[in-house]
Amino acid sequence: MGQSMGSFGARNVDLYMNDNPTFDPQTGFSFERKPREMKAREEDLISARIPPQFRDYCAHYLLDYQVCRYKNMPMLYKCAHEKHDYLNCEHQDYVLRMKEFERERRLRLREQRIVGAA
Amino acid sequence: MQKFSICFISFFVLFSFSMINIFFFSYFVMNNLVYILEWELISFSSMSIVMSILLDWMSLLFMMFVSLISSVVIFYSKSYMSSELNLNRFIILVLLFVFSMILLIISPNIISILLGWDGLGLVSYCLVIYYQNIKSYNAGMLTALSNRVGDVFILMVISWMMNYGSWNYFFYLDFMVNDYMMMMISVMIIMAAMTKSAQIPFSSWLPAAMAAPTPVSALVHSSTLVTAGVYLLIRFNSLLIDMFFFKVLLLLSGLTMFMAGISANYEFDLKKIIALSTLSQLGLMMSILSMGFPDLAFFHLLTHAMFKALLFMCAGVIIHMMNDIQDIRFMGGISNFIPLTCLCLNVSNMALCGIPFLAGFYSKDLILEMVSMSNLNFFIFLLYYVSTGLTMFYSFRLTMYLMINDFNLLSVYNLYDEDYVMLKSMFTLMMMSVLSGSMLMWSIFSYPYMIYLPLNIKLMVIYVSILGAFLGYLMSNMNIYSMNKYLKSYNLSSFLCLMWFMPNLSTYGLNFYFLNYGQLMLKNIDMGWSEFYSGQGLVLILKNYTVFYSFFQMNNNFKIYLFSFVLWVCFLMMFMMIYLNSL
Repeated sequence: MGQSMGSFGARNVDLYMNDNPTFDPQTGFSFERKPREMKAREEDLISARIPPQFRDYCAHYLLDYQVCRYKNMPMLYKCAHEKHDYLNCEHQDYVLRMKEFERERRLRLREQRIVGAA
Repeated sequence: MQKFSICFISFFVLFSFSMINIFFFSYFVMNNLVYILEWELISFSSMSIVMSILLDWMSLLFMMFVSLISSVVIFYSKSYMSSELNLNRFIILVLLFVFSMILLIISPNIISILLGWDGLGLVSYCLVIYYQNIKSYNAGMLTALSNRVGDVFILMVISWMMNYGSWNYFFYLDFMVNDYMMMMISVMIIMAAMTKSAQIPFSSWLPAAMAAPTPVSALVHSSTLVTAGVYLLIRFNSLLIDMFFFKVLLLLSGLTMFMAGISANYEFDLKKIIALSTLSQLGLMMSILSMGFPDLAFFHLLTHAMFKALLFMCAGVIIHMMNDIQDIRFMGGISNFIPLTCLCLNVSNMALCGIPFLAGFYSKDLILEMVSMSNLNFFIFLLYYVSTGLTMFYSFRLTMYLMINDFNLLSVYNLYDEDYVMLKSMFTLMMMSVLSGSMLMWSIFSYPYMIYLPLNIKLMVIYVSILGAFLGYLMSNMNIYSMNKYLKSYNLSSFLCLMWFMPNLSTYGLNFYFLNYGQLMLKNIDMGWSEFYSGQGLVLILKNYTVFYSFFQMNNNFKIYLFSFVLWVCFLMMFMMIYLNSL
């Protein structure tokens, strides 16, 4: 429900957590935003048998973590750093997505304002 | 020779098996391996019945846990069942149970799943009626019939899967998701899993099955049999995730969790409290499963298996010590008499509540945080958190009744731990319930979950736990002098303590009308009209005629014959006169 609470206000503009962004990604920015780059290569992910839902922008950390797990198999606590790096990256990714969500919400509000004024 | 009893041999074999499994598990999880062995039994009409074995990290790990717990339970029953005459039969039944469970675990084929599934139901029936009395028979019949419903669903799944030409469901999970037939199959699979895991319409059998001997409860009704449904759904999870029925399952399992938590607070039978807490944890597993986190459900399944088996074993020691009395109102202060057992009991209880760094903490906390991270409505959120509080509530109440309050049974007593056999087995499991959480957390989550929550929602578990513990303290403080609050709201409390009238749904309510109607039929038809017209009525008529005739024959009364002859002649004369006059 933490999610629901965070996104509850967005329902006024008919925006839900799983919706995709609808506005132009460059709207309102003074500089040009670049699309994010996937650092891990597809063939590495395939050869490491990472399931598709984990092939995100943090997958290169995940690969490091998997390598570490493979190397220290019974003593998995030794991979705490790799795990932390991966989770940190996922956290940053989450924050980024939340910012994008908030941007979508504010842009929708702005659109409503403009339509209302016109 | 006594040293190599059947208990020791079975313990040794199962323990070695579990050690082998843990080795293979680490190898499989390291290399991300899945092995499927197939052996075609029969092939007809382009369908093939295949005996197959699936070995992956999940099945190996589950087998390791099952064989470890069963080995320890068998070791324990050497002492617990020492006065049993047919110990061999008991141990063989338990072994049969373990083998059917393992058959269920390693099979990716719905037919061999049915074999394991049916074996579980049958052997659990034999184990529930092990102490032969009316209550056990009723409980066993309820268990067997409830599980039978699930068996029938699995049978229907088999007949539906005939359309695919093979029963290896494993190969269809990813490719037949949108198939209508597969949707039917998954609904039936969910129903079958609900019966086995005692979810809401079918949950009355789990507390009733506590009529079984305590080692059986420790093995069967806490960690293996009831988790078979969860395990089946874990296997089928990728198929079910987008279904509407899975949302229904989320609601039902959430309600199960809540209902069991409340009922446990009204219960006074030691084993039934633990059974209801098992039901609550099963609801937790099912609900997180229906939110689409099968690995979390599996994680909780394993840790829960450890501490719940331990909890039942401690309960067994306590019941033995109390001269087979299970009512917690008679118990109290037992930590003074059996400190080591109470140590185990406390550890398992705290692991159940999710006190940090014990086994239950890792799984429950992760589950609750994933619930908080997901987009669910307030009702589901409330069910989860209130049930967590209720877990703390009944565990704390149980601890208070068992350990803090005064001993109530006898005025002269001498209580002690019986021997080291039970203690050794409990200590094995206690170590596992301390360690298994962190070990599993390291080993099975190749892809860790990221949790990112506001502080208060993160601490919500702590809040509800503290609140639950406080309420448990208040509740257990009630004594005979305090006004009985239950009676003031009798309807509500009977509703809550009878598991929301669930037993009425599956036994009393179901039986009553049919039995009553049957009695009516018996009275009016079998013993009434049909008797009147066929059996007894015919006899009565024949008897009356016979009596009537034998009155003439047996008495040999010539006067009557003569009189009747004279009478007959008189009639004849009269008719002749009338006839002649009319001419």
